[in-house]
Amino acid sequence: MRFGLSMILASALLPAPAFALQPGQPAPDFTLPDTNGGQVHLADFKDRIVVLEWTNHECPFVRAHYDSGVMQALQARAKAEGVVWLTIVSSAPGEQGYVDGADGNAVTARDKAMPMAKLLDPEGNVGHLYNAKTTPDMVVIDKSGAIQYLGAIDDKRTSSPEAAKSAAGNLVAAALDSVEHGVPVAVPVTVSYGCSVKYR
Amino acid sequence: MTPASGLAIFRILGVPALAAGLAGTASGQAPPVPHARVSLVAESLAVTRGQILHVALRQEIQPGWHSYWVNPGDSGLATAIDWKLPPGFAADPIGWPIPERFRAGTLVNYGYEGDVLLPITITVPTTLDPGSAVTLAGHASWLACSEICVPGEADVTLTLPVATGPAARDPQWADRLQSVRAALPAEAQDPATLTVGRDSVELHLALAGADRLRDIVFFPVADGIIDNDADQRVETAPNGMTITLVRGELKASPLDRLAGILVFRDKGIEGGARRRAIAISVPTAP
Repeated sequence: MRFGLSMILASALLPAPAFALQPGQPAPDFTLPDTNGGQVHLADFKDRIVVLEWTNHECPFVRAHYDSGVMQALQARAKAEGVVWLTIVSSAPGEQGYVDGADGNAVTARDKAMPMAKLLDPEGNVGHLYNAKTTPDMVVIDKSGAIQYLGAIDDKRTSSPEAAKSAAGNLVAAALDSVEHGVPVAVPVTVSYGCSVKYR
Repeated sequence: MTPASGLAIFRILGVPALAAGLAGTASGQAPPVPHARVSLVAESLAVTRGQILHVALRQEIQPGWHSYWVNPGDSGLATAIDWKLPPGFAADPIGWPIPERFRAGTLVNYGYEGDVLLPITITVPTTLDPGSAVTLAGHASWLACSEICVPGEADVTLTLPVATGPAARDPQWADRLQSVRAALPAEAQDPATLTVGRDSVELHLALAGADRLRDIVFFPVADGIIDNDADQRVETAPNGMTITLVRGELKASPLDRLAGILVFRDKGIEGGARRRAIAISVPTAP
């Protein structure tokens, strides 16, 4: 039987998928410089809920969520609830979305964004550690340091601010609701959509 | 392509002639050009009451840029059209021609480059006045990407007279649009089975003459089901093919059905160098 190839054999012959992270796993620790010259260690936020947001301020999908105010509203909610929000820029120097500290702060001010910190990852190491594929790409980490959500900002694939505003299902808001109440996240993994992260 | 040369293309080819339908950004820079020009074309020069009308959204995409298939892959956004049709008219969804694969690092995208026709079937009502004219209008939106992405949007219209009899073919578009429609993936009639494992799925299609096929590639209709970047393992025999696919981000979720298109070349037939495709939608074996 020519087609009797077993799934076990087939699996063994294929390369391991790149996205190894799954909900429930410990969030890999990292240290990155922020836009104000400090160093941010993820491990310092133990006992707090953490949101990671990959951004590229020139990406139309990111623009849709900032020009509509959707992302800032979510950041304001996080801030009010004591949730740590870390915005990460993994664009390499010369690539779209790359910022140094001053530029990064200027973008934050212009967009009236309110992350706890904006982190600079020009080498892309932390982006690759979390398999961030697109901007935006979102991660929610619970107080025990376990990943509880990986994926898209919402369930409406769009680069239009109007559509972003009308998206009914903000998946990060839903994940925060669940994590704050200590219940399992209903949709713990989605496929992020947007611009490719402009890695080196 | 280096980042510098990508930027050079953006500058040099950002010519006003292509600025059909601008989509500005709030980034404080000059509004970007959309990198594609869109229009509506039809297979016939008129509409006939009660007869199907074949039209297409034409995208003339700037060299070096691409638009997206129904599943854009790891990034991007499918082209869409929001119709404003006269009463009694109805538009089917876009019929998606066989896409190309575009690779950027470890990301894989599915889309189109060049001069693209996206065919759409329009149902025409039976109650039109001969001698009148109808205008089909729509708002097209798309994302054009090279190394960076620029959204575009534009209103498109097409006005055609109402014919009393069979409508004459439009000599400019009829042949090309017909061949595009003929090349759309046809639904596979052959028995298929899907075996779902933890990390991979195995699709078997009992397709006679499968050993003649070359360059077999599966394109998933939904994102996250398979790893777009992973190798696809294909085995063919005279009575069928088996293709093994690595599961994607959603691999922890149950998979009830795999839908997509199988693209291949058939060396055994005339014109076999041309890519052909069949559409499959296979439930998971119990």
